[in-house]
Amino acid sequence: MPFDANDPADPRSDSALLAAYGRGEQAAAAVLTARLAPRAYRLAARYLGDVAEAEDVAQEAMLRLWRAAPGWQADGPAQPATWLYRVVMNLCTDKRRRARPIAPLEAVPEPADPAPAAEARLHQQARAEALEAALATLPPRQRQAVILRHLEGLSNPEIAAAMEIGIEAVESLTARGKRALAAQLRPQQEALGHDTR
Amino acid sequence: MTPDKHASLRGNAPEEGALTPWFEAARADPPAPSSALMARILADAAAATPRPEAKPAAPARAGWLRWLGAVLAPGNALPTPAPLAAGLATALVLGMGLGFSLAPDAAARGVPGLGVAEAEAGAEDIMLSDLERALGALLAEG
Repeated sequence: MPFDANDPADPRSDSALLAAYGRGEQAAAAVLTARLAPRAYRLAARYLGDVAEAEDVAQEAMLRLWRAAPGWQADGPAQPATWLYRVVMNLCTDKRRRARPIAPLEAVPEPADPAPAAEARLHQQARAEALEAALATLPPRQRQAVILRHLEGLSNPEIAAAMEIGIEAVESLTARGKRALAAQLRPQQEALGHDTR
Repeated sequence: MTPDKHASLRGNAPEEGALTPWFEAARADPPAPSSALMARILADAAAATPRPEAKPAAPARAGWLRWLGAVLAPGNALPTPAPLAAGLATALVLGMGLGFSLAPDAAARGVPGLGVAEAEAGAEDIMLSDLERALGALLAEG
């Protein structure tokens, strides 16, 4: 996923749009909302595992972005997406709880025996739920690094900027996080249609 | 073959491939914001849209102050010579008139560096001659 995707309807970068909004161009906010709000919500939802909490975090993060716009420099080094990810993670860390309990791995049911196409969809849904449950067991920083790297598609330098750590720290966090995930998910691999090798 | 202890940091560990299907499954069905949430975010943006600050209007000035400002402000067009000369002459006459009305008292107090008698006799002569010279110069310019 591109980090600063250009919308064919508006070719300006996220930084240029945010600076334009800071000068009073309200239309720029609509483009930025379409680009950045889904990312903020996805990260919050995957981290918190709760829809209502994720919506609160996403809305608050976007509101802080609007308030930061007047001082935003279009040609500065900061990127709105990086800045937004950082705010979302800080807000999620402040929450530190889940309103909806995540089902433990043992409770993830084996899929029934339906038609092949439907079976594939059920396996996929079950794998996603199992991964969500496993992610919830990781320490916060490992969870953030793994979500940003493997679910949001950020590069290690981008994650380092968002988490305000070095690139080597990012690599270490993601490596440790993936080792823990693999250990958590290995018992489920056979049940959910993966090879155990 | 000794295991490479840095393999995990470079992402070449065995779990890298084993987790791929799990990550693919999660990416295939990502959490999506509701339309209500998007509407709230847009409403926040509308409410927080910065307004350009209006420049405060310059206070209205009396006629003669506006004229003085036009004369003194750099780059502004000066009035035509005749009104300029007339205005300056008027101000000079008024100023001199005030000075004359006070001249006896001032002369009695003495001009610095002069005796009282010299001050009383010379102040009027100096003022009158200066006034004549100034008016003559202004009228010659006009």
